[in-house]
Amino acid sequence: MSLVATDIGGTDIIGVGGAAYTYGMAVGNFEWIGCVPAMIVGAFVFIPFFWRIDVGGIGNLRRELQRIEQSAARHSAEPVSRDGALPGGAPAKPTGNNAEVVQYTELILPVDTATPFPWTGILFGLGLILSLAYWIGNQAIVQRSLGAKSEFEAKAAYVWGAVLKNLIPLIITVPGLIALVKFPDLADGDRAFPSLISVLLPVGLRGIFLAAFLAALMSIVVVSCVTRREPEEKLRYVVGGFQP
Amino acid sequence: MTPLHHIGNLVRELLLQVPLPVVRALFLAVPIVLLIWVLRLPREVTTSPESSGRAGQNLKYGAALALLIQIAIYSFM
Repeated sequence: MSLVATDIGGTDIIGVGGAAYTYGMAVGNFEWIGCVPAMIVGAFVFIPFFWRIDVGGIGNLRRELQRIEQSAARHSAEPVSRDGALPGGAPAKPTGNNAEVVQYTELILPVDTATPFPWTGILFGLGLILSLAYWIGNQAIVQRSLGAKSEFEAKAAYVWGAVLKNLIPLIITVPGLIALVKFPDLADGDRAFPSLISVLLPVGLRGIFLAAFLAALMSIVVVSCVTRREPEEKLRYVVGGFQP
Repeated sequence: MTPLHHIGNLVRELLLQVPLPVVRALFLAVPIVLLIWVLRLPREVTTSPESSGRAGQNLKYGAALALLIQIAIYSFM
């Protein structure tokens, strides 16, 4: 649950819903083939590796790999492979613009589609490269599993997170399609979800949703401060303590 | 136009010739191959050392469920 909650934030609710409004269901690929296969590979191949070398984060992992390389280089004249180095980064999140949309309910789109999601980019770029980099090399994600009580629980987090990931598009993508039916003339896809909220929710629930949404946004800001700026170790713990 | 543009256009033209049913098969191949791999993993990789042997404590079943849902999604959508 923590893994999936780390991945999905307030920006996803607005941004992915907006992208679904503009481009259709193909944006669901980011949660399906862009997550599940990488999480299963991560659970059974990489998480055990992280636990065995006792890393505390991706920064430590890089240092550990460098130490292994240096150690190997001292003992052998052979060049040392860097295949184990893990790049950071996240799958590109879709942004809305006014492209022509042809197939709203199709997941697999042709190479010459008007959307930014041709099957080549989804399968080769997202499914085979970016998703692995994100689920195995992103500090914010991997750190969650490294905080588990045991290697088995870390693996279980990835596996059950993968099951949960299959349902996420129903929460963040489908509302965009519902908005397409209810409000077909919106100028900007990012207004799809707020329009649904303002029309469908009663006044009290609207306020609760806004509070939850702001909390989700603040959580993202704190995580960004902790993971991107690489502050001193002590400061990192202090800032991380405020994280919901 | 640099030579890279020509190579890119050539690749794009070639990929345009691939029929979408074949593409769907490629999308399905990813979870199917992973499912076969997961089901063949040894028991000690997918269970806790303190496991009592119950099916619910074997991650193989959770992983298979996630991949089967993927297969269903890419079969029908």
